[in-house]
Amino acid sequence: MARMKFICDAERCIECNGCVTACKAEHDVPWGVNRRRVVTLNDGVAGERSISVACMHCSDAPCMAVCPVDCFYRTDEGVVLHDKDICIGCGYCSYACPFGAPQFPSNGTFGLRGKMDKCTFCAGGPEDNGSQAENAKYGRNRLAEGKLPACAEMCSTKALLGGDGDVVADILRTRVLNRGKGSEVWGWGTAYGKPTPGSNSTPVEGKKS
Amino acid sequence: MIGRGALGCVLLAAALAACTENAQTTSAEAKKSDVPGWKGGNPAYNASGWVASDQAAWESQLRTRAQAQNDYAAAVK
Repeated sequence: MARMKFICDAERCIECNGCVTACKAEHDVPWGVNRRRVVTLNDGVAGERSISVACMHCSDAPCMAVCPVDCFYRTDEGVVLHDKDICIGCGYCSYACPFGAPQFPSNGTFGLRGKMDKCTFCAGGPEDNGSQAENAKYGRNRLAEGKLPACAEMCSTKALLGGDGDVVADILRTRVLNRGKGSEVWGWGTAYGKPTPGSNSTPVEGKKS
Repeated sequence: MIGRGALGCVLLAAALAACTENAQTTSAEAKKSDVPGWKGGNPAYNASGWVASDQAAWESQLRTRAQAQNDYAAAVK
């Protein structure tokens, strides 16, 4: 069984925001909502690093744990999704998420907070795959089309990797072995848990600076 | 006398029933079940050369597609 994962290789990310643009365009994400964004650490200082951040589809997702209406669910591939027909827009998930993934559109004259919106790993929602209803609420369902998330596939430097966890971890390991550095993967331990002893398919947990 | 008391109890219970609270928790029926991705969506937008069939084929397709992100493999070719 494939377990879908994102990895951002901080040694490669050039802060071009191509992933952000790809996501916005692919899903027609409303103004003010950023399912994905690029965060730069130590901006302007020699050795600055940028990382692309969105929902990490955590193995033990805190958003799911705190949701008072239980609108979240996890697919067989480990993608954390939610049902907007159940969501009440309370915002608990945004406080629980360590990555700031849940986003809330402002609706109406008084800027009322709408229902939560977040990265779907391009897997849509509970509506029929590829249906107009699914597209309107959650965006395109690329996984059902045999494709991977648009952000990862559009990344010009291939810093952002998305797909089966074993495959993307293998790709990153090859890079680390070839260049001799950059084994740190931001968010890995938080989202996917600590590496199991003896496992060679999981990158080493790195420091967050 | 006893019958009148019992009737009173029944009426009181019926009157107080209006004060009960409806369950506010999400029932299992309210949640929609998602269709697995491997079953495919709109075939007009499928990745070229891929047709939705079974789960193994879908996983294989995604693994192959993920290898497109591996520029070391591309360089070797």
